[in-house]
Amino acid sequence: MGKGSLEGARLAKQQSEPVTVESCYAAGLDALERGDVTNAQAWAQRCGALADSAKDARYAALQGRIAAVTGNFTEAENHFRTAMRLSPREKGFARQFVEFLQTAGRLNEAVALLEDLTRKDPPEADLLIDLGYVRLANGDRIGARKAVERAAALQRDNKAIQYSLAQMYAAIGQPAQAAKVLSEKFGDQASPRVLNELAGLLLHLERYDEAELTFRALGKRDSTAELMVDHGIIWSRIRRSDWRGALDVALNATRLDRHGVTTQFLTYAKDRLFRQPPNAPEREAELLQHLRDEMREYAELHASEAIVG
Amino acid sequence: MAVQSRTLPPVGPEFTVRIAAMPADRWAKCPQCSAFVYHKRLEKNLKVCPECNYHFRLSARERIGFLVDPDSFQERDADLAAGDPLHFEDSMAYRKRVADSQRKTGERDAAIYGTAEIGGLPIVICAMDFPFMGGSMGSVVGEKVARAVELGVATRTPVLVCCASGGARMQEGTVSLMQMAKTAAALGKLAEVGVPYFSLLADPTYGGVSASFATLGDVIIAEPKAHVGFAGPQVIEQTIRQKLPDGFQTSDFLMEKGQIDMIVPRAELPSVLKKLLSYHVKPPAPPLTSVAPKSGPREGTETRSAWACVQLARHPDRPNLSEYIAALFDSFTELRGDRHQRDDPSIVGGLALLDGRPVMVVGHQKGRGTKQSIERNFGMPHPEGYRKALRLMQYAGRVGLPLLTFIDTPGAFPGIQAEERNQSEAIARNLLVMSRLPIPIVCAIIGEGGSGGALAIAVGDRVLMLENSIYSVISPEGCATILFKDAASAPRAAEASRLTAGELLKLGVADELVPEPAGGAHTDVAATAAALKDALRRHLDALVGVSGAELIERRYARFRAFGCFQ
Repeated sequence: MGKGSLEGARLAKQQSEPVTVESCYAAGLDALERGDVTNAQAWAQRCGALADSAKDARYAALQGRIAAVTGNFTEAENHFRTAMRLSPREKGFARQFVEFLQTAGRLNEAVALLEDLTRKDPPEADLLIDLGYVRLANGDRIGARKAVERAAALQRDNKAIQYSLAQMYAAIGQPAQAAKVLSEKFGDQASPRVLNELAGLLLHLERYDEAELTFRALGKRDSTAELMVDHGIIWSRIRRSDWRGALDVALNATRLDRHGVTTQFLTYAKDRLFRQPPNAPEREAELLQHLRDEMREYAELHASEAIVG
Repeated sequence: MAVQSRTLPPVGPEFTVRIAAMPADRWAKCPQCSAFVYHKRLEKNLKVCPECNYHFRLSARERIGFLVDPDSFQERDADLAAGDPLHFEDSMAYRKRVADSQRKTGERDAAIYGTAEIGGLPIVICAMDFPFMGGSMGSVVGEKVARAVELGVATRTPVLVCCASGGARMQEGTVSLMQMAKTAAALGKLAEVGVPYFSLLADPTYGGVSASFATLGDVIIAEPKAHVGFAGPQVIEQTIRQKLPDGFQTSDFLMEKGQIDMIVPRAELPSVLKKLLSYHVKPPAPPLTSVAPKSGPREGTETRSAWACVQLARHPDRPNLSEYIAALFDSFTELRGDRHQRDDPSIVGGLALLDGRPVMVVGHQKGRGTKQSIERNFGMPHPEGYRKALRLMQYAGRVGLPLLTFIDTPGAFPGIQAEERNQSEAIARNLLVMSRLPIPIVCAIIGEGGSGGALAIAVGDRVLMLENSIYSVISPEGCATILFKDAASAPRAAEASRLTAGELLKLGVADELVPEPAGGAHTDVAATAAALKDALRRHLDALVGVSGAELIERRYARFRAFGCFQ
């Protein structure tokens, strides 16, 4: 994998450069990224030995990061505060402190700091997004929505931020708004992951025409999802009382049926075509549960994939 | 704790770019509780939701990254990639499907393996990558598992396979089916050379993976709420036309059914694995002791009646196995389950360190008080208890760990289900297997030694008896009823049966009598444990230098010699 040669190059670079606060800071962060706390501590020690380190925010920030990783939270907080005091204009240190507070689950303080950081005009959209999620985790749904809406207004073409807005709407119980953002902002660019989420929202909203179209789009993008897509289409048609249409899709989809689930969709559509079965509500609940399970599994499997493409 | 200093390694360059480009992905949504968790907090928590304890699925590289010591993983055969033996094509050509997965995950196939260290102890580790085609096992996965195991064989290094798979890879047809046999055969070789194999089951582990290397571990660990099984729940539901109960095929279900040894939260896995590995580090050779000194009965013991010994052996405050384990061993890791039926709590077993020397411990476990006694079935094992003991004894035999057994049972459980599951065979099998184990076996009778239920874990090279313990073919009450036709004659039957330690020492059934405090073991547990520990240590020292073949021969001679005839 060339891991050894990369490591060698990194070390060589570090050794060839003069030791400054900057180089110690960079090397220490690099070591932390690799999980090598001992090495990071060694770099912090070297940094501390330099004459100008005490007045340099980077030294304090590096110590803060190391203390956070080793679980010395009080010490970490002191170092981050020192870094912010030494370099009040540099937002990077404040962000590191926010990150530390979030990681430590100290949400109240993270909210306060983020609010402080986002007071400038215009604020950074990324920080607003963080503020939104931290407020949400802290139970402030309205504040959460406002922060993310502000971020989305600042960067209307940023898909990641628009996606965050949709997620926020869904999380605070506004699925129609969430679906609207995903439909309007992503369009043909939506990835299978986003389409699956959109389909779920549309099913929840009982907008079955649109749900069917979304499932179709997902099927075109990801052939491995064919069976789940067919189940989604059948379900959308069942809910529209399009029994024949549901049956048509089910008849074709049974060729893919491994576990008899598709057969359940098929038999229900067939039964409803000719009569009203007495146990219809129970059977529909079961079918919906199957579909939800499939969509949840799909979401989990594709959770780390891109939102566009 | 070590976990604090661990960070997840990057999955690949694409992943890094994506994260950097997408602030939204800094917040992960928990599939179980829907909470949004800051990604660094999630990573710090080893991808376990801090709100609901949901264990997110991990890639192979993430799995290895947090299990092993930083920078210790050296990957092997990283370039191994799948062929297309069937020229398979469904909605997409197999080659294209593999290429897509390679692009998405940054991996060549659904497993990676190599050498690493956990807590400074060497291990061969193989991890499956569920994001790569559902972790399905084709030629590459089978080959990497087999090569990992063969590396373990060649270097005599313990092997760990982290499983997460939907099963065999359909696109490679029967070739993928053969990977099951290939990996199992490799593990057979590993067992033959006495190297332990650990299996870690993550969510989900199914089909051909579950039915091969995943369930063949000497120790099987599962993550909380992992789903593991041969057939998927949907298949079962459709076949039997029944709704499956909640929790079916989860880790808890497997634990209850005796299929795994333990459920370990992700954060604790490195320390648990380190502990398991430490039991397989060869200890320094003990000082040579050719004969273990034999102590005689403590002064005044012979005046105690057999019936008085019976009562002391059954005393409600008499120390039980778990109390001795706590007092005797530096550390103990309990292993559970017979792999077939359930975990019988009346037999406890596991790996332990006796003054730094790794041993396998198996014994009867009685409870303290009514509730515990019922839970432990009064120390009366079912067949599955004996089969758990058998599994652990065979494990010890394979890897060369001395076996210490502790006997304290009124007898094997007399019940309908015990008979249905063939109690007799379970006991008999243990007698046979114990007689042929090529490891030192020291048995200590610490309370009641009730008949076949006791002997089932007492076929050893040395049999020690605590001063007030008893060992008999039938309880005094049973003997009195049958032979003396009067249950009230139990004291007389006890005397006649010569079931005390002193009598059995004379008969040659016991090798040493371990003294107890004057009032019995319960009056000073620490002193009793100290005396027992001293005896165990001496006898082990005398046995560890003896070859396996010699031990088997001597054990055969020992039991062959019992009998009295003219």
